Amino acid sequence: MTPTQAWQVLGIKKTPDVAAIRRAYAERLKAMDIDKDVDGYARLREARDAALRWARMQAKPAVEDEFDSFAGVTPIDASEPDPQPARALESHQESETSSWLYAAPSARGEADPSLTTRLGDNAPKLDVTTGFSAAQAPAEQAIGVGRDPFARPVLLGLEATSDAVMPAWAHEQALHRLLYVDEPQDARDATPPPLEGWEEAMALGHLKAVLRHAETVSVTAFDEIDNWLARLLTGAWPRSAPLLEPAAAVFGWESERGQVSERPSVAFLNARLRGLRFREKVLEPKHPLHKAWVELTTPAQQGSRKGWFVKRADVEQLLAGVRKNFPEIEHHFDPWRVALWDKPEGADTGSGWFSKTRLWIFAAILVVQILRFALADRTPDGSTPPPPVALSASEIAEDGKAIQGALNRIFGPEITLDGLKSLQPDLAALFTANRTIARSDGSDAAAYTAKVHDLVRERMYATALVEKGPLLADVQQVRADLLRAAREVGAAQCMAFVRTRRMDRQVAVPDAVLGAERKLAVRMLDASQLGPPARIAPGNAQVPGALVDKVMTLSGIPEERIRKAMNGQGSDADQCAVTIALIDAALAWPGKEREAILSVL
Amino acid sequence: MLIGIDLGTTNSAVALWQNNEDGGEAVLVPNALGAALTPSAVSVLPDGNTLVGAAALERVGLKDGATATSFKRLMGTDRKQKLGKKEFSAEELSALVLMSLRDDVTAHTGTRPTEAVITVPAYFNDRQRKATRRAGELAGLTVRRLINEPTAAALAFGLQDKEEREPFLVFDLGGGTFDVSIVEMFEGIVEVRASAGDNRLGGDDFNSAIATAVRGRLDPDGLLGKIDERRAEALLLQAAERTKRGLSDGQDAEFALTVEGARLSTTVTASEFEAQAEGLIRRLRDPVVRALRDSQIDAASLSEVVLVGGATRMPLVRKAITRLFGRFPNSSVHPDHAVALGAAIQGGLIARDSGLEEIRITDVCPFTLGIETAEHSARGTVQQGLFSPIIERNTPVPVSRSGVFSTMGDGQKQIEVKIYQGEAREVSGNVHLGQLKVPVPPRPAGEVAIDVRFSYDSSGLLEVDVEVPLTGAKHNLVIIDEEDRKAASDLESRRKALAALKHHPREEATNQMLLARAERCYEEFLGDVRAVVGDRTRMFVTALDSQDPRRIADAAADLSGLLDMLEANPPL
Repeated sequence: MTPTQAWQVLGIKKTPDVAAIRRAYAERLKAMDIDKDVDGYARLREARDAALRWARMQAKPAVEDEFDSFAGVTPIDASEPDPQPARALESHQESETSSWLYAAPSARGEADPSLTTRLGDNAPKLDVTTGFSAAQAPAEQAIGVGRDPFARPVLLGLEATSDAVMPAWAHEQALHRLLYVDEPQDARDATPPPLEGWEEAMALGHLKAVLRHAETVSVTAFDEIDNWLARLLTGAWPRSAPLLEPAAAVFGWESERGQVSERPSVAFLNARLRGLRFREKVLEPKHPLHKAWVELTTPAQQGSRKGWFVKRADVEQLLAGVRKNFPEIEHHFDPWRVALWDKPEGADTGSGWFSKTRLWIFAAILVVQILRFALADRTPDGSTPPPPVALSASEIAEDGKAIQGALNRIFGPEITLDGLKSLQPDLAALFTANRTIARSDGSDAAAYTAKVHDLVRERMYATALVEKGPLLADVQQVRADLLRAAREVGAAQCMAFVRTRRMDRQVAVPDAVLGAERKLAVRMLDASQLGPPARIAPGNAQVPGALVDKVMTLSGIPEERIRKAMNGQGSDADQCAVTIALIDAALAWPGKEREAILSVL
Repeated sequence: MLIGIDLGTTNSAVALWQNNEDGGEAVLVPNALGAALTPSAVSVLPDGNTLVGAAALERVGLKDGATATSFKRLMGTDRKQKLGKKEFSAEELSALVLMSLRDDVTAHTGTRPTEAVITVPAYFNDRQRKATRRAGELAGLTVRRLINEPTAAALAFGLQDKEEREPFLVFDLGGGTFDVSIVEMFEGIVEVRASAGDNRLGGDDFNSAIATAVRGRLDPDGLLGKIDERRAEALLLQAAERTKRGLSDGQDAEFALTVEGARLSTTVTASEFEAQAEGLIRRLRDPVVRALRDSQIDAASLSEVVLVGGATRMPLVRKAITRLFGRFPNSSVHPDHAVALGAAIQGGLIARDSGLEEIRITDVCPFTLGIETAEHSARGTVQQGLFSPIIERNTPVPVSRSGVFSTMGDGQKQIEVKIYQGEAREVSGNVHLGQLKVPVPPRPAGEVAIDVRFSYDSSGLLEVDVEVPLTGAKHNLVIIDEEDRKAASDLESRRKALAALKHHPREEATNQMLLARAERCYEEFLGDVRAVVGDRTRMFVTALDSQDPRRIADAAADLSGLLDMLEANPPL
């Protein structure tokens, strides 16, 4: 309805006088039977609302001048000169009647830098006659989050001073600062990092204070905090994930789920909440789809097959269920693994026989491996039949020499077996145990040294993958040199080292490389970083095109073959060259993909 | 004559509009016992006579009590309660209460009322409203209008001084339902801006909370487990009600009851009650927030918070309200009388009585109305069972709105329009109100549109018109659900069945009340005291049998004196 029509329907001349508009509305209403003239009633209401809106807009500039955009919200300012606060409040309410239809104009706290302080100063004052204080800078103003058009600062509950140490708005501010990291302009699309341990603890502390405060204030303030927090958590997702559950419990967000009027931000958070709940449940081994979940979240790589003990029906059910109900948790699945299962059943049957055979062969290999490890494992703790009771003095001396020889090669002469025992006892035990095995096998000192060197290299590599950062770069640097040395003998030896982490004994590692490796090994030993290795899980990483170009220049291999090699295909020579080139290129790469790539090589 | 009735969960009341020289006023009609409130309780005596009100309530914990209370909570459901040999639905029990109120008015004015305005919780859904309307008709009253309880209270509050009022909030926490309305008064217009509520929250829930909390320590030997489950519950809830009242005055109160000659007792402290009721208190906030949000009003700009409903007397609830609104609530209206008085005012408005000519009231529809639809999801599947609102909640009524919908399948021959009420996005979470099938010419999907118009009038009657512009065909449905259709046929027979029930004559109400009270005391007290009560009761019954008015009066005075004394100073 246009304003002109509105005045016509009301039968009065255009006026900013709210009382006149209401009077006209009342007269018209009393003259009609609203049950008989439904459309007429609707039109009359619409006209009145339009007229009142116009009147309010006319009144607004004046109000702003007077109260500095805080019309109707600062009874303290207004009442200070008045010796009778109660009367001041009444008159204040009268002044507010002019804008009764909608809440007062939305406050724009940011425009006034002194605002926070000024309101904060007023906070402790309690209007004894009415029992409530006009305290508090509303949180959103201090923070400057986009506001609801109807939200505005409100009078607080009876609690005059909320928290003497830190007022509620300061908690809100702190929470906001923790959740929104100072992002550089170009990182718009990058996901912010998750809260670190200390940040999470602090954020939860502030959240607790905010929630406690919300429960003590008036409904409007409560509603405002509810809206603000819902938007804050939505905007800062996934950084805000640890805060979701406690906030949802206080504001009852889940009871809003599925309602027509569910707020968009609450709908977003509820979806996350449901996903979180489902994930928690499915992570429990008792859950019927647990196996399917584990299968789909296990990273796959070239040559990976579907899990053997997982029912296709379960995986399909899980996949379909997650896609339908919790699309936001699909990212937990490994895309390659999902692709394996996503293939239609028919495409799979062709290789059915083959995969089954492979399964059994692999299972057989697995059993053998397990047996071997069982034997090897038992050696150190002395439960296997001990070697012949008495070793001759010469034998003991020979063992000592062999062990020290290995230590010299791996760590340098400054590390003795006793030193190793005190620094990394389990590694020292491995050294002696392998020596015992070597003697019973009749293998020579060089073979023994190679064996324990492989073990130490594996530990260095595994630790580096976990630690990441500069250590990973250092270890990969040495590894690239080792691969280069292995390539001198043959591409097969190079790839054998990549795949099995065993260095062929024909490989002659240059002294310079050995020296660098020793330095690194001693450094890691000093930092107790050579403990039992974590399982090295296969992974995958995105390699930017620019990096592929670098690899091309470094290796001199055409792009197509590089891509094949990166996917684990092509000749050993290509794969070896590409791996080395990729390590080199990644080490020199400034981009954020660097670490991810180094972690999977 | 048109009367106004507050049909409450715990208590009911009736009032009428009286014209006088100042214009007129609403007055409450006392019942046969002289009280303004009649407990909403129905009891069937062993001899088949029915009792309504205080006397029935006295019998609730008796061994052969056969008493129903709080049946308003079952309105709109098929659940029946067995009293004695007969089964009653909630609307039949309500009808019995309405009949008793109607008879009170007949006795008071000498004219038998034929029409009534009955109040319902604002958040009652369509089914519950229909059941209330039928209860009125079963009681032989033409229900001129159902009016929302907080609206009625607002009328009573607003007409106290007929002044202009900025938006105020009516906080109505009754025995079984909770409503919040935001109302404004100007130029003789009473305008409800928004209503919200929880029709499963009331004073009864606080009683249950107390009973649940104490049951374990009250009854370590499981004596209550040995008696009839319904009676055990009635005894517990009755005791809880007494404790709740006690806690309104002090920091702790006794929780005591007598079962099978054994007296069980424990103490409940205010802080324990507070902890126990925390969940209930929390539920008060949600409807308040919704009503404020819908009406775009700030809690701080409300001119008053008006308390209605008996449960708002609890200090616990008052404290919560004070915190919610940051101010002390207004208790200038009588929390138990305001709704009935408001209903009588509405009655006067309908009858266009003098003194009310200048008053108009406009209300809103507190819930969303719409139809079921389906849509293609992003993954290409069809998602069915979605709710498409046509009238949004808190729209001023009467209102008429329409929406356009189209076919989903190629060559679809008919569209089924299913009508729902509620706030859930999927219809399965909403209340189904009715449906109609509209034949359409077979065309490719999406090429046939229908225009669905909802018209909702002031007394909550929904009419649905569907037009097919392609053919010009029109279809109309006045929402009548299954129960209605069934009810229309047998309403008359049910009315007769109810009328055929033997009622205790009104003039005997005082004696019946005394007898029921004596029976309860007999079960509550032990030993010698019990023997004395039994003795005096027998004397009273003998006097009743003699039909000698003087002897009856003497014996009654004797017995009631004894009971008063015993109850004022319990011997235990």
